[in-house]
This record gives sequence, structure tokens and C-alpha cells, in this order.
Amino acid sequence: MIRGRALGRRPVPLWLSLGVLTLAALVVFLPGPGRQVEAVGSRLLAPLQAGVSQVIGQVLGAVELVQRAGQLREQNRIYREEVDRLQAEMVRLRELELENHDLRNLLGLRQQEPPGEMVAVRVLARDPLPFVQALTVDGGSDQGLREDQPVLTWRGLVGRIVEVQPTTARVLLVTDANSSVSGRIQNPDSRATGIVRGRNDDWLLMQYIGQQEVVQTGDLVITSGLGGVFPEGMPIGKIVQVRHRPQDLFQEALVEPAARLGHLERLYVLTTTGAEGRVGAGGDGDR
Amino acid sequence: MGIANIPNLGSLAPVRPRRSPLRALLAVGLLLLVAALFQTSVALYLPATAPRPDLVLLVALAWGFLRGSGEGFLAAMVGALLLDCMGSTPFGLQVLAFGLAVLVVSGDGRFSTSAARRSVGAAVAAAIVHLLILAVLQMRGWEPLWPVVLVRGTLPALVADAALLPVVYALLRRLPEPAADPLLGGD
Repeated sequence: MIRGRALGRRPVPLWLSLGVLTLAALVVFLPGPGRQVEAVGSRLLAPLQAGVSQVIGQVLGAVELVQRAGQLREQNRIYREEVDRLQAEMVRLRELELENHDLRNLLGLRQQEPPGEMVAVRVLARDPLPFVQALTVDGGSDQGLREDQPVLTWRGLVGRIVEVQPTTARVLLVTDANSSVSGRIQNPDSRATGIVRGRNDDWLLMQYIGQQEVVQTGDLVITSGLGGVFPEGMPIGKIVQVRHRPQDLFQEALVEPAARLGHLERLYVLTTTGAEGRVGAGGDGDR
Repeated sequence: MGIANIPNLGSLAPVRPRRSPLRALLAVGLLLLVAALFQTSVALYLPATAPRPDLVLLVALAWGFLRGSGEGFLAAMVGALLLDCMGSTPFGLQVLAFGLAVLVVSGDGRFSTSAARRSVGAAVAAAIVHLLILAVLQMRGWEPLWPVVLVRGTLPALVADAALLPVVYALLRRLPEPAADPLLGGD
């Protein structure tokens, strides 16, 4: 066996390595042809990523099912009770909807626009860097996806699209430190607004809440629609802790995201919203 | 018995089969792909705060320690291209960061002499990759919360990288070595 004599043991010539690094730097700062290569790469790798994440998801699902077999009976009973309760609630809400409709007609208000069209996408992968909270999904410009479109689950807001390829797109999660959403607290005593920012962990931080506002643990935080990216009324999360210090100008609240961001599989991209065309650029915080 | 009938015993001596280096290159290419898929797809199922090792970087580094900086650099370029296609950072940034890290760590062989040095080398390379990517992202308008990303992202990754490098190195050692040149002899 040879050590130190094979062809691969030769150090890479300095001019070659510097040439490659210079080329890479040019591609980073002058994107163009790089995007085309990336598009081809994404198209080729997306099926592999889909296959791997699907297999892993199924294996983990099967393991969890076996582990939780004992709890399923009890959970089933709780769900049945919940279904009964929700059915009763639905009847009551239908009545309220009719009443609301009548009152709107009486007041001459126009009907609120429908939430818009949604495209279902599946999560393929997470960003390889630990400090970037972003996902790759299996929908792209071919499906009508565009940058800055909101992404959600039935539980609540997940994030927004930051990059689109023909068949894939990257979603920046609300938990990313670079994400901020204009939020409103849903509390009968307070309609306070603030900026909900990611912290690169499982939680969100709602900042710039006025000192005089009433904020309580358990309050729901929804999108305010002021930022221009996210339409109004999408659940962001629930307040789990409030930091109120008299010497500060503002209050802060720790928010638990409504969407279970650690268990994302199927997501929905809001391709058209009721807010589109009404809310201009230059909002106060959606990023 | 004529001289032609005397058996040539030398020709019966056991001959070590020559193994193709191409097979090893294909194997490391496949390993880079698997590492990239694991780094992105398995990460989906990990909590946001769990340490996330740079598996692709580890494969490229271990290959460089085993086969020299030439093949290590090539592996780093292939792995970084895969990550560039799978990630949301600007295209080419991983190639730039990986290339620089592998050049620094496996360039003069100072980190390849012992297991402990190789682990330190992995942590140094990962630190170069993370810091360079963060710096470039900041230059492009991203606003990283430095304490948060360093404490929650980079530091756990460096520790995981240093711990995992011996495993990856041992795995890659099992791949066939390039066949010995008969003129130079083996060791």
C-alpha cells in the first residue's frame, strides 16, 4: 500500500484552487448563470429529497404508532368528545354567521373577501445550515408560486416564500431570526399590535407592544395585515410569557407558534389573497 | 524433465487484486449525496435546537485526510455544489466556504496526523464555513443575530462535527485504496 504517492495525494495547485474560489465568489455576488445551474440541480435532487423524507417520515410514524398504541384508545375517546363539542359549536357558529350576514347588510358593509386560492405543497427538506430556519417544498413557479407568498397549515402561519425555482421553492420559517411579521393580539380588552420575530429556536418574540396594552398569557396572536405580505387574521401563535418592565418603553411576549413547525409535512401556499392589490408596499414589519 | 516443464513458482505467488480507485471515487460521491440528503431531509424531523452536524463537510474532510488535499478539495467541491442546490443561501456560497475551509485544514497536512488533530480540524473547518457564510449573508443584507446563531447554531454544530469526524473517517477507511504502483513498491 502506498501512502503519499498516489495521484490524489498531490496537493491541489494553488492557482487552481484560487481560480475555483474566485469563480465561486463571482457566482455568489453576480448571480445569473448560477441560478440556472441551481434550477437544474434542484430539479434533479428534489425527487431524491422527496423520497428520503417520505421514507423517514413513514418509519418515524410507524415507530411512534407502536410506541403510542396504548394511548390511542384514550385519545380516541377524547377526540370523539371533541367532535361532539365542535359539532355543537358549528351549529352555534352557523347561527352567528347568519346573524353577522344580516347585520352587515343592515350596516351596508361589503362582504369580506374570501381568503384566496391555496396551493398544497409537501415539505422536501430543511436548509442544510443550522442557523437558517428554511424549508424546501415541492411546488415552484410551474404551480404559480411566487416570492413573498404566505405559507400556512390549518393550524396557522408557517412562513413565506423567499426563493422560487420551477419545481421547488424555499420557505423562510417564522422562527428564523431574519423573519418578522406584523401581529395583533386577539384579546377583548386589547387589540395591541407588535412585531413578531423569530429567534432561531422553537419560539417567537413579539416586540413593541405598548406599555398600556393588556397582554395575557394564553392570548392568541394573529397577523395584523399591516405589513403587506401576510393577510389579516392568520393565527401566528399563543402567548406563553409576558415581559412587562415599567422602565421599558414597550412590553415583550414569548409566543408559541400555532403551526407545529417541527412536524411539517403538508403546507398550503396562499397564491392570491383578499389583501392583494389593497395593501401597498412599505408596511410596518412583514419580512 | 526439460527446462520448459519446470514450474515457475513465482507466478503462483499470491497476487493482491488491484482495486480500481474509480470505485472508491464513486463510493465517496455516493456518500456525499447521502450525507447531503441526510443533512437536509433528516433535519426536518429534528427539533430546531438540536445540534446539526455538517455531514457533507465531514465526508469531504475525512476523504482529504485519507487521500490528500487534492481529492479532499474535489470532494468538497462536489458536496458543496449539492448543498448549494438544496439550500436557500446564494448559489456558490457553499462552494466558496467549503473550498476555503478544506484548503486551510487539509492543505499542509498539519491536522491529519492524529485522531485528536483531525477532530480539531473538523471544528476549525466548520467554523470557517459557518462564519464565512454568515459574513457573506450579512454583506447581502441578511441580519443575523450573531449571539443567537453562534450559540444555537454554530457552536453545537462544531462540537457535533468534532465528535463525528472519527466515525466518518473510520467509515471511509474501509473504501479501497488506490492500487500500488509496482515500480514504486508498497510500504
